[in-house]
Amino acid sequence: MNIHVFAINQIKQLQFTMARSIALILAAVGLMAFTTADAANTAPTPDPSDAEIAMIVVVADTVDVNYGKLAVEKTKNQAVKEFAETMVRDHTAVNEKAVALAKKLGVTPVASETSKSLESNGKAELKKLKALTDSQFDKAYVANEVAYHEAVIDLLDKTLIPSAKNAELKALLKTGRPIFAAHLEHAKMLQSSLSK
Amino acid sequence: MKTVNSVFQFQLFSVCALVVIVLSALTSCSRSSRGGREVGDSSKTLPTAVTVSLVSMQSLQFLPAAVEIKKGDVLEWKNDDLVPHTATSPQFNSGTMAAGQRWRNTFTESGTFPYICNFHPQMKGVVKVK
Repeated sequence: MNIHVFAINQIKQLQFTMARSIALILAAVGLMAFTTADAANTAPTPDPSDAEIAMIVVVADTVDVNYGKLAVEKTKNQAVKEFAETMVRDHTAVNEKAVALAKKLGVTPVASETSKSLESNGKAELKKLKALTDSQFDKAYVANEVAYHEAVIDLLDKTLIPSAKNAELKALLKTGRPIFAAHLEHAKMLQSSLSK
Repeated sequence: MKTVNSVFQFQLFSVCALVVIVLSALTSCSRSSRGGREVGDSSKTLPTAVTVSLVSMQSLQFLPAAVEIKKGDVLEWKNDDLVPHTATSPQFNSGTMAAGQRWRNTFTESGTFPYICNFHPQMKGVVKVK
């Protein structure tokens, strides 16, 4: 009898230990899964290569040139038109420099998630702008220019300039940075005058 | 004998011609340098000490933004930026200057001349001519 009770107790203890182990294992697996998912969400994307940076610069400039060309075509506001002409002129000039430098360095621009995202967002925004007219268009175009230049400056500061390996490419990005900052100021001035 | 005379005459002619050429060249040089000095001495046509001051266009700024020069001096703008610029005022206008281009203006009157870049309104400069 005592032996029977002892055996039952042993089995219960074993079951409890097993249950506790399973619970611990499940908790550990769950924690691992959570940690991995969290890491995947917050892990920085790998640094872009110089070839990817070259493509990002070309796409970023081209997107703004396309916005500018549309604005020159659609706006009736002289200040908006002059701003848009400047965007087309400046971003075309920066693009020419970037392409010439890539050629000089023997770098073929390579598409990346960033360049693809810039391109697809640019197309979507262009579609939205095309549907607008008059002051609605002017305000939307200028607001987009403010947001776009802020995003590109952020990209330059946090990703492109720190990641560039080639000294000439890094120098080109650094030289372009104050130009984009001045464009942003110009766009903000215009935005303020349009809201009056 | 006749042949010897002919040769002598030819040699004499050649030497004379050479002397004339050299003298004429020297006279011409002398006139030219005297003329340069005369022009140089005339403060109305070409001041003796024309200074060329420089303004660099970079990072969407005129550097230096304020320049003080003397009447008759020359100011040269150089576009050291990636993008085109202008140096424009009611008194002068460079027109579009692509990256790397230079443009000069001679200031013949005293005064204060504010100017801008036609493409970038935040780019402002001033030339003070004494």
